[in-house]
Amino acid sequence: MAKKPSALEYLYDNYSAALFGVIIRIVKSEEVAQEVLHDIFMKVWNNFSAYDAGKGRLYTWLVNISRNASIDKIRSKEIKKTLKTDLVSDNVHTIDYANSHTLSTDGIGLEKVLDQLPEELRFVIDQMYFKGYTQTEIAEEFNIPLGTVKTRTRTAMRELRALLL
Amino acid sequence: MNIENYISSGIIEAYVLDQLTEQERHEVQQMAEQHQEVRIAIIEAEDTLIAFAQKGSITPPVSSKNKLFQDLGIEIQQPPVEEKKEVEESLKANTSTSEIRPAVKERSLYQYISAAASIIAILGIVLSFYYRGQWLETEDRLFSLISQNETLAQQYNIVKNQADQYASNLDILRQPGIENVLMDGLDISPDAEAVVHWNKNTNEVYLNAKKMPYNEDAYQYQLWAIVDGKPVDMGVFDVSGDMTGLLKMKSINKPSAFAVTLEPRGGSANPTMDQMYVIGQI
Repeated sequence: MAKKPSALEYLYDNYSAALFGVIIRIVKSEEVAQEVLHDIFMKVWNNFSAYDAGKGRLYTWLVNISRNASIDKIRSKEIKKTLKTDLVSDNVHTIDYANSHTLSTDGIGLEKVLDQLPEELRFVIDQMYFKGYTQTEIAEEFNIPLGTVKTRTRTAMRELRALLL
Repeated sequence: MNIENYISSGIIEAYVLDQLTEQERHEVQQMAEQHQEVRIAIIEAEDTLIAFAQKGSITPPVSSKNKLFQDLGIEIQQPPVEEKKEVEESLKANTSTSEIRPAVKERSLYQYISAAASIIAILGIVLSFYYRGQWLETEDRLFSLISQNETLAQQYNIVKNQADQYASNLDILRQPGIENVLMDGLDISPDAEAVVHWNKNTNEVYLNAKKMPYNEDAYQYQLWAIVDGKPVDMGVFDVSGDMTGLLKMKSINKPSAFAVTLEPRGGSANPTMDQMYVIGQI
């Protein structure tokens, strides 16, 4: 892709809402989310060559750098401690947040989809996608056999696929 | 390795969520190159991730866009959505005030013009949605073509490497005195197969292990020669990635048979008999 100014606008207009949705669910603060989104677009724009088409699609690459940057952010800010002690109420807070601040009603749709997953599958998605834990870390941290974590990941993604596509 | 087991092991999801080490990523990419099922599983998982992110879209405030473009020193070309609405509303306001004008002739003229303008505006909006849809579709196709292109280039490299390997294998197999010893799979792995190329003039031994299952990191295969009824260590090897090339093993004089066992990494002094994968007599 040529680095024309309009390309940035194209990238921003097409991907910023999806990425902002990803980020805000992880950092749980509109202000911090704006900061992370800003940093990501600055980096992507100044260093577009970091994208390697062989490593996956542009969209998944953008989603993953957004997740990683957001997770780094909360881990660096020690928000982690308070999150861990109160997982349930935090999730509730996220949903409320989406309800009250969202410009598009689409944002709430994701929580509705997640609510349709069985508890143990939703848990794996939460830990991997929103908290950035690896399968091994989840197994160790929560005393679940690694094999079970792996099959649950697979099942969760298949169920999400059925719900979303 | 069983592909279905591999795919359902959860590794594809970890790959798509970017949670693997560089080495593990590389292994998944190699599997994807070799097996279409793996490629399809990756694309499906990516589609799911994309749909997931799309579903959770939350539009950031307009101020975010303005700040970003300002910081990068780039001018925004399309007015942000809010402004567009304002423009539309002020347009509407203009047309409605014009209706209040008293002159009958003028009013009907304005009505015609405003009706025509509305129709044109509606057509424009419909068309812009249509073209936007087409544009997004084209963009998707472009990205999938880029990735297909990449895959083809990778496959070409694999085939070229294999061709080079076959050429050098041929040089070895053409030497005079080569005996080929086919080793068949035993109960533990009936589909496994390996061939020893033993040169009875020089005692050199080359091994073709292309049809052996991949071994885990903690273990290694060990080749044994049977000489006077006793096993002799011929060296250890790993089976991973592309195994087209022949493996040079230790040299041996007057073997009567060859066999391969799976041993703890580094090999053992004596073969573990219940871990024998293949065996073949001369």
